[in-house]
Amino acid sequence: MRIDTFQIARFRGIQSLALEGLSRVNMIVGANNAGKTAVLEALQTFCYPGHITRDDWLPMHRLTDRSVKEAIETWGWLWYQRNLEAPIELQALQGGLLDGKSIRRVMISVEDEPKGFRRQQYLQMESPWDIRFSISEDGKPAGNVPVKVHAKGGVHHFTAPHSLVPLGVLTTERATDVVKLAQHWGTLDETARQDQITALLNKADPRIKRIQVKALSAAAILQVDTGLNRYIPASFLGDGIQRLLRLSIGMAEAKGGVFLIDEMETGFHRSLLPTVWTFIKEAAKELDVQVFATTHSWEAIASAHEVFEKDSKDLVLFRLERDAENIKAVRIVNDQLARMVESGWEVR
Amino acid sequence: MPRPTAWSPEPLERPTVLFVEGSNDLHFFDRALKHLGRRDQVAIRHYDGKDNLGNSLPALALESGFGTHVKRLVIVRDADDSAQGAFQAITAAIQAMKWTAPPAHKAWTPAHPGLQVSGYVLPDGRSQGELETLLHQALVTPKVAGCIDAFLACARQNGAPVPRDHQESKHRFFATLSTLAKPTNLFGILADVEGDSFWASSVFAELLEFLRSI
Repeated sequence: MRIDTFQIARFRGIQSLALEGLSRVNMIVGANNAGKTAVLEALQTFCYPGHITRDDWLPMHRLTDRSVKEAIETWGWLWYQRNLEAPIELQALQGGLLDGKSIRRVMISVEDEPKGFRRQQYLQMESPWDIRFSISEDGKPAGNVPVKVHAKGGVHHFTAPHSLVPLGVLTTERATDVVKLAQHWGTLDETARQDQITALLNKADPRIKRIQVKALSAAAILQVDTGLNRYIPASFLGDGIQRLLRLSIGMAEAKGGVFLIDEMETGFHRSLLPTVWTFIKEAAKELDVQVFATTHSWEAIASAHEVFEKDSKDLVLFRLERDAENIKAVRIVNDQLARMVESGWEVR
Repeated sequence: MPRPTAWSPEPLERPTVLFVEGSNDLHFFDRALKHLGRRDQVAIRHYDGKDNLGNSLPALALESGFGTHVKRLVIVRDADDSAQGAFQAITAAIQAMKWTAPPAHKAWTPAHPGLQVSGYVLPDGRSQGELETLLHQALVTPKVAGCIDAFLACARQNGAPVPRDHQESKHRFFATLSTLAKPTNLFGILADVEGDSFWASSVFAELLEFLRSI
């Protein structure tokens, strides 16, 4: 599935936003609080509502303080200005807004919010909220998923399901879950893919020769041969190499779907950025993955432009601009992007 | 990786943008605006040659800050062999943006909601020539000007390919540089013009008056 237009309504700080003319690789830039990460959160929630149960659900990073009261408020703030009356609406279209055909729409509504005395009860009893995901495809109902959101900030009960769109996420987290990575590594369907990932890491650090799964008594972990007399658990590699590993495995996980990268430049020295973008470009094409990457980095933008110069239609940059309560997306492509980057004009 | 080297453009957080033809113009206008004490009001960008104005203007309009901070835009171009033709090129680029173009050299027009646009054709909106025409006139004395004309004529008579069109003024300018106490280039000249005497030349009067008003 290829999304041409993604429309967000009433989600976090975004009242209404449409990203039209999406490409295979989409960079999202903008000032702080412009809504970049919120766009990724919206995409993640849209593609795979079941991700709200996972640690890498991006809004979960905002739920670190799970005191009861704050947890209640946190769930509420997923709705624009905490107005729970109107549902969150996330929609993917083929084509533009005017001529577009809805591929899928996900609406998220609150069916029962604790109020007044009942709210106090909820706070004390940690009773859940009732949230509902209503999914439609091509205008026809395609799913109706009730969710019980735990007052402490987790998900109490969620019957969802399957991924609506294959999805991978690269957060800014530093820690690598080597057990999860080992599972994903094992599911890579082609050894050629494993070889590509090893080659990518080798470009970043020529000492890296092999990656393998090591079975321990409790679980299997991913470990790396760096030429020492023993393998190193992946979590003991440098932050950038770990992130590269998560990125490359995550893209394979997203085959045929969407891959989200929050703050693309995090952990990567600028000299490595062309290598990373080249990998993203080639993997996105081979695996038919649509990539959305936020960044604040001029070097990340410039290196993307350089890598995509001959396939410029595969790269689009959106700058989110906030004007009071409104956010608009300025779309920059091809010659304009080239002119701006080569002149050092401010794209971000 | 492409990176700006000689010039790191200031953010478009100033109310006026001067969009000039090339890096020489950029440094010239940088110095002129500093001389006028107006540099903090004006951001400068160049479009890398007259042939690139048409595709650079849409990119400029997409730069961060253009839609929010910029209220006035001046497009500057060399007349080359026709001031009228140069001005028409400016208006064509503006109209290609679906903006309203100004009616004449130095005139302002509301081109787009919240944006006034003007065009300035060097050297004076009427004559053939370019930036170097002004610089040559500012640097050379009448007597030395005669020497330079004689030098170029002599060179031409002896087979040097010195053109007779508007570009001759560039040749005059570079020949003038060789007559200075310390031969230099355009950047050297501009680096040495801290005092007011250079800018006091009458050849800059019209341009400086315009720059005071933007």
